[in-house]
Amino acid sequence: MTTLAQTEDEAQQIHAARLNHLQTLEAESISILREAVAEFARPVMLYSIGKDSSVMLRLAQKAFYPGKIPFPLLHVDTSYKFPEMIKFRDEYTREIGAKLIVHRNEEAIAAGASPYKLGTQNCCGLLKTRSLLDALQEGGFDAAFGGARRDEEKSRAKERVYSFRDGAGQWDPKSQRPELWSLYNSRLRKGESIRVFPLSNWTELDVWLYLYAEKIPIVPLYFAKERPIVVRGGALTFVHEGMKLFPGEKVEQMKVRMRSLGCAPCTGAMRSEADTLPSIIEELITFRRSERENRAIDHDEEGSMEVKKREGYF
Amino acid sequence: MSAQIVASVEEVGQGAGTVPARTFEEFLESHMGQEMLRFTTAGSVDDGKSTLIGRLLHDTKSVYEDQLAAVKKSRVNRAANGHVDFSLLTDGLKAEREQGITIDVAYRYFSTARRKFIIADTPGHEQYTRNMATGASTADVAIILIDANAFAKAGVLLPQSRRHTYIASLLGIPHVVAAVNKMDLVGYSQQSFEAIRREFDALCAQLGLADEVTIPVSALEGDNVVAASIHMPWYKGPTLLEYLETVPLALAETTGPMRFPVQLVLRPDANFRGFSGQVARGTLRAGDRVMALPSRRESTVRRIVTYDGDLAAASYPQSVTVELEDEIDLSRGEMLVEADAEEALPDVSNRFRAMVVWMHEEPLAVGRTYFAKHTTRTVRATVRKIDYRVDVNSLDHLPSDTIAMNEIAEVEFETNLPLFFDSYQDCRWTGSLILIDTLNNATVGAAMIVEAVTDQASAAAVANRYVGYTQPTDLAALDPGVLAGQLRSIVADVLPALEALSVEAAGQAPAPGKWSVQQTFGHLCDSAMNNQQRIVRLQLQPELDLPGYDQEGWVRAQHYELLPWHNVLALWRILNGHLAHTVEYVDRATLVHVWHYQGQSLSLGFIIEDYIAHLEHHLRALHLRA
Repeated sequence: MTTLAQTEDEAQQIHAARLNHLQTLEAESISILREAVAEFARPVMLYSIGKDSSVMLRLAQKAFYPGKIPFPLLHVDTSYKFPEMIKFRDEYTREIGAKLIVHRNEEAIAAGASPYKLGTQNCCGLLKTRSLLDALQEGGFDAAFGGARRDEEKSRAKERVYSFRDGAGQWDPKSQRPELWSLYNSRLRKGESIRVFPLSNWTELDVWLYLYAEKIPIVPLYFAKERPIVVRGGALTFVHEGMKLFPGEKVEQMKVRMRSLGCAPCTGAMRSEADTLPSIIEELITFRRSERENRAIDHDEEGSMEVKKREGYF
Repeated sequence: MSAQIVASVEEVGQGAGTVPARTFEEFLESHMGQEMLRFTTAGSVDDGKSTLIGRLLHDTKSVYEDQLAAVKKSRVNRAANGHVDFSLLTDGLKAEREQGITIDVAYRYFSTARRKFIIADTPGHEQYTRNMATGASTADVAIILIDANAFAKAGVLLPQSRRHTYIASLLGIPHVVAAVNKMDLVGYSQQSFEAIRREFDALCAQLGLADEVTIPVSALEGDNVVAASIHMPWYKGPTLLEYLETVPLALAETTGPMRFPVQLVLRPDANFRGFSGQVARGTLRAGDRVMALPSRRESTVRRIVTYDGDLAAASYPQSVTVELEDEIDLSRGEMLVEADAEEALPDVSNRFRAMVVWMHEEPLAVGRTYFAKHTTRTVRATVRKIDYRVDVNSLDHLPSDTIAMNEIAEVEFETNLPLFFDSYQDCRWTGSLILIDTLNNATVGAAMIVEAVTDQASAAAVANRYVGYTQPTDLAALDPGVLAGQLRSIVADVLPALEALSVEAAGQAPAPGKWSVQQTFGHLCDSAMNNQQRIVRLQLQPELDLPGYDQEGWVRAQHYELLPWHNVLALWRILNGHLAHTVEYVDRATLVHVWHYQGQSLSLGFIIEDYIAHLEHHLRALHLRA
């Protein structure tokens, strides 16, 4: 093994200079955020209110300090989000002085779009995917930051940091640009756009460790608490507005928390005692099931996440 | 495939020196202090690479129960004898699963008590050189899969193993490990393993890879992947995971002269002007004298600003914002380096030579212009010359005017604005660039800078100094029949005037020590004889090592001045007639064959064209032709 350190002093200096994995990830993410702001005309950050968005938002604060975040946040509101999420969104973005755009597919919502009526696939298509694409087009955004991580799901393992979308906002796994070193290609023709994923190399555990280390606020639904729950199709479903009980179902009080946040009808809770960040992390490293397991939408068919991505969903 | 570390304190991390944390808070602290190691895996479709990665993830408890259950109930299972098909854990996209091969780089994550790992899982099929280069570009370690069973049958390393090792060396991966897989199929034989190790060691020596190890494994059975093998007691080295947990991380970027490419100028208000960027090499300190490139204006670092407070120093690869003492002109795409250290400056040049991996269906061609993105700077780069193309299986250098997808070549570029760079060997961050098509915006190539090209050594100068009187035209456009016709018409054109020349006029030197017309035609006879040799030999062999000839010496040694003038002229006419006849029937496919001469590779096409240009040069000097 070769080493460039000639003296013990130098070796110590090098050791001191080496970053740990969270610092390395942070430096990489900040660089991605800055690069995109430097190169794109109108970037926007997709803000889902979840833990990954919270980390991404903090990284954006760091990237442009002492300035303010130089792009707006966009929340695609399906109208089925938990009330705690909306409250957190409004308070937190006000507190940090970020500009927030909320977009809803009002037409579909007024027509009564719901997972019960349409099935999860069609409901997601209308209230999330369609709504997102419309919002990006209306805003004229050429780049959208997303909090997706490659470790979330198999089809995301091949996702680029800069994910190219054609004029219709579609993702084609075969036409993605090769990405080498930390050199990202931001060149676009009119109508094309890039989804930028600054958290690509973060794992779920990295996100939780960072939330803990940085004392970043998150939606209280992530912490275990006694809550009213209905067991439906094996999933623990929160009692939410407009929910109708099927025959045989009953509301129970259970100590649960959310592992990832989505729409109330389609995101299951998990039984847990973890009500602090360290206890969540402890639970995470002993718990052996993947974080999207509680998402009804991912299990529609084998490879369903890939299908959604092709259509333009994250 | 998440990070799940899972109870790793007790279950994994058998690496030397692991001390189990006593409390959960201590575990958290130790976990947050972990280093990150990136590695890439290269293997061909049948080498068992996906199985190896699946095994690594499974045995480090990085696979979730629901994911494992999904694999177990999958309709597809390519593993025999009731084994779980671990490759299904990593085969991502639906299309690939159906084809049974991976077609794009996939990133996987796991960690143990010692380190956090990022795997760039790159497909090894022949046409996917670009994928391996992509995965290798950020890797600290390359794992080269070698199929022990295939080696036993072939008796030599397969071409793909040589190719993968070459790409690892080209992309500057600091550590290379050969995982000799399928040891179970060769009876866990030490002899088989040693034979592979000898060949691999020799290959690494040839490529200049200093840090390499070879580990015998069976991914299917789990031998020496995470746990030590009970089947190979003769092997005393680390398991693959132990190696990954303990190999020292590269230091090249943390030492050496500081490089700070400016990414963004931050001006939140009238009182603050900061330069944001990621330290690409070395360490930047508050109070340092720094110089801006390309302006060469100097200043002092006033503050290193971050959200978490000012820093006294920032090192590779930290992202920070720098405030300077003076209002100097500095913007995105420019660079801060150490002042007062001429010898530590990067090259500042708009001409450089680079190794290029081509990644697009439309080939790279001489004369084409691309966007080049280097650090935070994007310029236009024109291909001036292709020095050679590398045959990735034999590692031979071949002449070429284009580079097709998945080919590798050394290319000379000229940019419209200067770049500030180091050689890739010295610094990956400031020695690398990507090439972007100016029309469709595709990322078409990746380049690793070899060196700056100075004017003296530029392609045109080199060609002139050695033999050239002309720039070669595109080989594809050369027609031997047309060239033969040109030669015949030149001879026919000047012959009447030469035959009319008196013996005295032909024998008179224009100045002391200069050739007479007769001696000049003697020299042109020598040129014809020497080029006749080259043109004949190059049709019979793709590469030629042949000495040049001392022009003055040849003219002296043959005493052309003592011959009758008309004999010299007749000899010249006959030699050129025969040369034209020879050229007329040259097979166009042989025009790319090369003569290695004084460090240059001259193609047969160039030699023929240059012979005619050389002849015309002398005829013009004698006022025989316009």
